[in-house]
Amino acid sequence: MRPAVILLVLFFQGCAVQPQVYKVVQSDDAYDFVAVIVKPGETLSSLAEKYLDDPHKGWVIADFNEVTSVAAGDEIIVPSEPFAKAYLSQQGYQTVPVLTYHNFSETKENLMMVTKDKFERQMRYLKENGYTVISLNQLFDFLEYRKPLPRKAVVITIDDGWQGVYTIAYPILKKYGYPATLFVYTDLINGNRKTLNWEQVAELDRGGVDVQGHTKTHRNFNKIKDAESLRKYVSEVENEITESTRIIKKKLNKDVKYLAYPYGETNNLVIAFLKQNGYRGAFTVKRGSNPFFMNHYTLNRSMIYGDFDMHDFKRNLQVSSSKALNR
Amino acid sequence: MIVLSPGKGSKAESPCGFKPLAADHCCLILMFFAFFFFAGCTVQQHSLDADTDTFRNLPAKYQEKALDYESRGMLREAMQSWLIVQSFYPDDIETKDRIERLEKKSQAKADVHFQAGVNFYQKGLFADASREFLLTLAYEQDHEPALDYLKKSFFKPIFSTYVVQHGDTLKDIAEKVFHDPDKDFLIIAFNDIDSSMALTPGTTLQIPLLGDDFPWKEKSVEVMTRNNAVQLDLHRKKRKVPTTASPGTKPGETAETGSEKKNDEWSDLVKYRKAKEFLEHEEYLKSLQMLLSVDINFRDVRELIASTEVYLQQEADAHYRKGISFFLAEDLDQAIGEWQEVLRLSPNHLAAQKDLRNARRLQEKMKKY
Repeated sequence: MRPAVILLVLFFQGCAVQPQVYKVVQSDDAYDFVAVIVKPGETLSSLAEKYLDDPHKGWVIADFNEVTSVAAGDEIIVPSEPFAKAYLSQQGYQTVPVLTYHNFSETKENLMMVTKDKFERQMRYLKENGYTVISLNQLFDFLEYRKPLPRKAVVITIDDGWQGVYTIAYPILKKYGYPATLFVYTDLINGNRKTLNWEQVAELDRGGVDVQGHTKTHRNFNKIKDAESLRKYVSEVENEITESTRIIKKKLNKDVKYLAYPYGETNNLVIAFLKQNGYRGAFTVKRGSNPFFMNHYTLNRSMIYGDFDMHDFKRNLQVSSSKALNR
Repeated sequence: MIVLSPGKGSKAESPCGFKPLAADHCCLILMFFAFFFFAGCTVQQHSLDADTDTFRNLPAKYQEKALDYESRGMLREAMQSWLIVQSFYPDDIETKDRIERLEKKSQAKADVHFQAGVNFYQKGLFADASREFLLTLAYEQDHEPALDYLKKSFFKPIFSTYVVQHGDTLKDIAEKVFHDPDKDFLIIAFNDIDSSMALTPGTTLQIPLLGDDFPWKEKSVEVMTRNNAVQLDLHRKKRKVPTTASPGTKPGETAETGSEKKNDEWSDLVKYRKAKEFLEHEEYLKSLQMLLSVDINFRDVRELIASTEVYLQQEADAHYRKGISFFLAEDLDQAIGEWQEVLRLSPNHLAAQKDLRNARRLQEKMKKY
């Protein structure tokens, strides 16, 4: 056995370092880094698949090395996980924009209606400028300071349930492979000429457009009806939430965890009911992006109006801030 | 303590991974290892003693990065870069010391900021507190207490609790927490109880905190109803019924349907917010134009219009004064440009109208000569 032991030692000695392939460092904090020389044909995605077991994590490598692509011969570091949870430093932190649309049309535009051409250009802009469109679940993992996001992450949401979502926005979202969230107010899903029906809503949900709540009737929670008693108001608020949750759950067989407040308006009572009903968070329409320390029940969303030009659109894509660090 | 640990903890497993084999397979083992040994050695020959030769750029790049981060006070980022550098120079004492120093310094900074944050928090200075907690996390990203405080600084409490005492009824508790025994239904709504149940002492009840901005106000229903009726009347007189269908209008619906009212409400809200955005960007004219298309009774539109007009007037006056300066400096083109801007912002600015006329006349005369 003696020669075998020697060979064994030599073998491991030989294999312990293969610097032309990779090199690993581990600290007490269990951060692992692999130094890699990119081989011909390798991409961010293939490297992510090889070293991180997930081809969708190319952004981890891209962000760490501050590159948008790799070429053969490049020397790069592959971190086993992103270094900074929210890109927080003394200089600033990451913020995530949540875009809000309502309706779409071929050519007609107004504040609440975006044309097909404009939507296509906006989505293309995201692609061409290194933005990663993420889901609400990913956003909330970030808000809970649990998982990091690509540096330029953005969320797409659509409110109400108009037909244009299915005929115009959905094919474009599919083309770019973007996830999105559709907040439906369930009374609107009646299959009217202008509105979605439940078959379409289910198809959207299966196709990557996550369907979530927008109440039952789209009542403004901060507007008291004529002669409305407190008891009646409380009962209506509860009904708006529980009924829409029940209907979506029944129609789509899924849990509803997120709500977009009608008109973006909310108050403590509404939030209390959301918490009681297991909602993970909810959105206003206050313009601005979201840092990880935002209140999950009053998250910002930026409405994209039909008359926005590209400059207006870009202004809503703020992915970092230092505001809370300033004196 | 930094350990160079090939393969360990990495998703990319080292090709050295093996399972022990039985002794009677000794020959096979010898052949197997001999093969891999020699195959491995051919690769190893030129690289084992010279990692940095293989990675020509990375060590210097991360050394540079580390120094840059250090100079900007980004200690955690600097430490990470030094760790990468260290993997290429594992025996370099200076790098090792540097990392240890940075680690201590970073921890000390985190402690200082955390303590400052707690002090601010206890004084109710939440903006200052959250800044300090963010800095704590910047130095030590998994500082759980800082994260907890940070969230508390931004999250308003939604519930309070009440522990049931001997003899308490729901009406008593509602009286204590809401100053109104008839609000007992609010307690029922958020606790697993009903009005007929006797309360068990020691039970903790969840009490919703309605907050100052809660829209339903005591004894205001009657007054609000009257006001709403007047406002609705004004609103109807002011608004024209749209001739084309807008989003939300179903075929056959009239201006009085819920959907139409929803659109008016949305439209006012959207325009109102847009006007405020213009105001924030000091685009006063656009803001005023937007505000004028909103129901005058909507929120503080009336006050906003008044203040926007004041801003516009101030802006117009500033351009007017600039025009005078250019005129005195005999720069007629610039003066005319400034006064034109005055009239765009404030079409009834009499002085600008007069001076612009004179300047143009003068310009014509000068052209003739």
